[in-house]
Amino acid sequence: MLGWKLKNQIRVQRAIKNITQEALATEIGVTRKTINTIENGKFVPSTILAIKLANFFEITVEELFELVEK
Amino acid sequence: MKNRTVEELDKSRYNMMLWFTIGWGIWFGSFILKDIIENYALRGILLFLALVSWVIWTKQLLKQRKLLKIMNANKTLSNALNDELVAYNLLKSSQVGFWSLLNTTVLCLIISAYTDISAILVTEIILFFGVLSALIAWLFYNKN
Repeated sequence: MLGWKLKNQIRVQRAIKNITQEALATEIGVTRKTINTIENGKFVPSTILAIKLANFFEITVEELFELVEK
Repeated sequence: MKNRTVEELDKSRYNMMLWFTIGWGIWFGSFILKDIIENYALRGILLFLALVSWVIWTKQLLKQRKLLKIMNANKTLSNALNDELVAYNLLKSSQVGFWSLLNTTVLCLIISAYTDISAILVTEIILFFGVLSALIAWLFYNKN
């Protein structure tokens, strides 16, 4: 969406859980590339994937993702 | 181990698509050129190139079938390899292919206003650039 950026806490949450991108990808059922592009803000995940990620980290979607103006 | 397999297959798919693109580019490119170029020796070289690259292209096609078999046998693996990023990149690549197809058609139309150009050649050129640009775009979007 123009003018907006989706910031995320995936890197931080991964560090807390001490889990690699590859391992997270396996848990969620996607490729490591997908986790990497989401983490770097290059790809905006679907609602389903966002909920899956939030559930995995045991936090809310709003805690994991934040909408900020560019 | 399962994770390693997804990563390995993803890399293998990328390499397969790379050689598939190279094969298509050289095979179909030289196939088109051999009909345009009149030099007999050069046509022979192009025909040879077309043959070699067709073998490469066909080999990758067979590899793709093998990969599809592996993916069909394991739904989790299939879902991971065809996740939403892959679907999104496929959509973007198709868009690139579509616009390339349109632009090539317009270009051929402009050329036809100045010189005679056969319908078969136009079809071949449109097909060549349409497919090639979509394949290159796929490689670009899916690179690590």
